[in-house]
Amino acid sequence: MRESRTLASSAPATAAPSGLSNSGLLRTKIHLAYPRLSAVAGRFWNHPDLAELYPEFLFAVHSMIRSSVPLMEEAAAAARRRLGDDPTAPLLAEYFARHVGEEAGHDDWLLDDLEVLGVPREAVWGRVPSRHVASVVGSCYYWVRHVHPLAVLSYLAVLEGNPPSVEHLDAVQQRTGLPQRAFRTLIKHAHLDPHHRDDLNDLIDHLPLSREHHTLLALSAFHVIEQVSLVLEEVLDAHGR
Amino acid sequence: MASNLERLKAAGVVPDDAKLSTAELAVIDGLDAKEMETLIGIREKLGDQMAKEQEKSAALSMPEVTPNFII
Repeated sequence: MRESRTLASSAPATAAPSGLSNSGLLRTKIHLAYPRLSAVAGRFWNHPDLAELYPEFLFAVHSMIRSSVPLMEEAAAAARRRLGDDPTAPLLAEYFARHVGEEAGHDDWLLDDLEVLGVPREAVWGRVPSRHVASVVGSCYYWVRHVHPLAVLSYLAVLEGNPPSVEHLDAVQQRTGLPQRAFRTLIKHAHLDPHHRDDLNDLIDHLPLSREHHTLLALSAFHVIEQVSLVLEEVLDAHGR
Repeated sequence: MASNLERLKAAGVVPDDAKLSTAELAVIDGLDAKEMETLIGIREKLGDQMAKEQEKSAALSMPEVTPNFII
């Protein structure tokens, strides 16, 4: 089977149960798995030594964020290859191409913030990232290349779905005593991500999704939740060593 | 055979006393075998981590809004 035909169902879209929208269905499934991430995120943000953990956290975020644009470019290309074969392809191709522009340069913002904390750019690029980062991003490449680019939407739904608020970040900054300039990337995302989340929901709601598409979205989201939880556990465990 | 909801409650994915909406119940009822297996596996890992950290009090509620990662 050609890669561009996998899950390219021409069957009628499957309505989500109980009148839920497509995005409502995905968000409800994410909600079921979310305690896994919520528990470890709570331990991280409430940690008494958060000031020491914070640079490690930013490194972990950078390890992932550096892949955002290349991953979405890959997803856009995969969607374009499906044009004509797959009724989801036109909307996906347009969305990924647009979102690449919205995410471009965010990895550089993080490097600026890390420099404020005394971590030089070359030190970031010289470190080996977590295998769990490789797992979560690598799985997205697998889904895109060998199954369906739709799976990247779950990655975005989890990671842009619940950003720290400005109030939360202000409180963290005051509690840790870290420079405010070390929070610039997170503060920008506190403003941007709610809009990105709404755009993503709107896209998902307009896609003609089959039952298999819904399953792929759920499995991809669950994997992101599990692996990002493990990334955060590594940040916490490294501090304990 | 146990329903999806019964299995999720038994595994601790859904608290016994959870107040679920009609839509949530329908979503749970419609979960397929792969989704169920993955959700229960994730819950088991949360349990392992909580035992390790001895933070049993934090668990098993439906999600709080705890900020996570960004990209």
